[in-house]
Amino acid sequence: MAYNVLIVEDQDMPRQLMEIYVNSSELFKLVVSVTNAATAISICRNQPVDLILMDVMTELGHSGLEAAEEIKKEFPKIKIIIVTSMPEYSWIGRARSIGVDSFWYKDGQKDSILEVMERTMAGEHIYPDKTPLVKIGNATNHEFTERELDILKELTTGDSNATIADRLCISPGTVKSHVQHLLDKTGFKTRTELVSEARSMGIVIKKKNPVG
Amino acid sequence: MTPLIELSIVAQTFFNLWAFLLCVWAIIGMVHSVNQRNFLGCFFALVLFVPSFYLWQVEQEVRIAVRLKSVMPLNLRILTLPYTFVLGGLLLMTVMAAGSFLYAMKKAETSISPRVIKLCVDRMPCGVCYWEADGRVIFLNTCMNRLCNELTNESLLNGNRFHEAIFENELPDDLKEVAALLQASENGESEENILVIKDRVWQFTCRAIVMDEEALREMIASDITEIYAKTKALQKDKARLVQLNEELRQYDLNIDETVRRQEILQAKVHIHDEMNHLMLSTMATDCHDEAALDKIFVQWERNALLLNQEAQCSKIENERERFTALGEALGLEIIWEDDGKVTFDSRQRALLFAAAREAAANAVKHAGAKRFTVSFSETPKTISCHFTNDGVMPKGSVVFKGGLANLKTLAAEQKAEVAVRVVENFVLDVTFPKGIN
Repeated sequence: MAYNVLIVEDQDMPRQLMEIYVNSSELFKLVVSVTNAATAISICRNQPVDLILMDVMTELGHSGLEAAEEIKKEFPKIKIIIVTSMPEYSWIGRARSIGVDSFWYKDGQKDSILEVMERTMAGEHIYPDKTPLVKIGNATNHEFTERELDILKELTTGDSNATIADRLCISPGTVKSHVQHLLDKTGFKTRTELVSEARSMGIVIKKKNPVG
Repeated sequence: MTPLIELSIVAQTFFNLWAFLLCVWAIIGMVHSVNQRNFLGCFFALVLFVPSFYLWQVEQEVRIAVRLKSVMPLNLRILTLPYTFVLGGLLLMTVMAAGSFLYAMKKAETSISPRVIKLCVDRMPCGVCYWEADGRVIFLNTCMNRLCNELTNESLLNGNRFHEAIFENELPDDLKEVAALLQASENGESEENILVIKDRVWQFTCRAIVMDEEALREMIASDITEIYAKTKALQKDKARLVQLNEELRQYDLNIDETVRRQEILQAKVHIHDEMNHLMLSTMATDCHDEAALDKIFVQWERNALLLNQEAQCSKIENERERFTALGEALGLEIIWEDDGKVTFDSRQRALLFAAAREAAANAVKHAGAKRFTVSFSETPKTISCHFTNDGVMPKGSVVFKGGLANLKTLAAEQKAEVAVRVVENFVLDVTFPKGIN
């Protein structure tokens, strides 16, 4: 008996690749592949779904993590594998807290997606130890502390230190200090350079119009 | 007791000198008191002066009388008084002089004379001026007078004329911003103006005051050259920061699209890499090893299928088929009311299908819809697509947030509009202007 798979991926090529993998396997059967994570819960209510391959950033800003959380609450038996290519630092932790079964990076993973799917359906939880290593300036993303990454994420909004400090409940001086540490580690001269590089590398992603 | 007139010359000279010193002391005291406008002190000094002067005169006459052998009748009485009497008087007056000196010292510690005030105010770096209602200046310091000279080439003789000279000019634009920042009075009690006088920036503050029931005008001039320079530098930095923040915001808006394109490129590169590896694996595989060949064949098949689908994915039917498949998965019947007359370009189609998927998701999730209709319309200037459903009508107004807000932002990039109507049914409209690609 084949497992019913729902694919949620807004990029054509990765989605088609996953469709091909699923269709080529006798163990899995494709229910439907969609581009918008907001449709996932409704599909689960209407169709028998055993496994979801869920991208994090989907069409129109809908978060795969939020959809996964919703689905896990209503359908705890459905297995969910988060599939992404972005090395965003907070997603692994968030996925674990939601109860996502496995987490797979599209690039640079030694296990293929089919292997991860099979092992997940067998009850394993497959998570990478760290986010993929990304070079940013003179440093790598693994050299930043969690707080520094929080600050870096807030910097992408373009808000002032005072506004960021209010949001994170710390002092503007602390924000300034963290920004300086980031600049010292990366070798960038301005926060604009730092933020543009971090954003394009996908290390930090701040939602502009949160859904829900 | 020895009378005064019978004392030795030395003793008499001593008394004479003593009385003279007391006179001088009294005169000094009087002048000092007049200077300080201390009338009590002045009276005291006078009281000291009169007897000491008289005594000194008497002593002088003793010498003359001895020389000329004649004396005035009144003075004779004093001259015949015992010398102890005169000594006592002199001692009393000395005590009075000492007392007045100590009193003056103590008073100097707790009071300040108008002259000293004027001296201090003249040394102040800011200008001060007070004048009466008719313009008559009653108090003015050196700095303000100098400013008046530099501004009007005249000394400050009339406060009202000077006030006109200060406030008649409108502030230049660059000084207006600084003036707003440095405004001393928050409730408009005083007039303020900023002028540049000989490369220094001065802030003039004028207000009306009442002193001893008399209406006066007060003008204070402060040198704000350094503050002005720092304020200008801060404004420049602030403008630069605002600009940088705006650039950052714009960058964040654009980066999503850039990253998506990067992802697509990376995926393509990944497939090409895989194909290269496959080619190498194929060349290296033993043609007699059937299991290995099967595995390689499967991988070639997958890549070929993927590239084939990629080549086909731009067709309209594929998108419509995909949307119909989504509808089936959602339990939603999709109805297309399309006569084929309205056409959209590829970018517009991408937006329309994104809107369709968002509308379908909301229709099922929030309205429990079972039927979803897509229709089109055209006017001379616009082409539109309308999405409606048979679900429950929304309670209250629809707020554009989350997916709908992002849809609106995407639409704006193509100069399109996204709107919601709630008439008989809920309708989502996407409207494009004609002639814009």
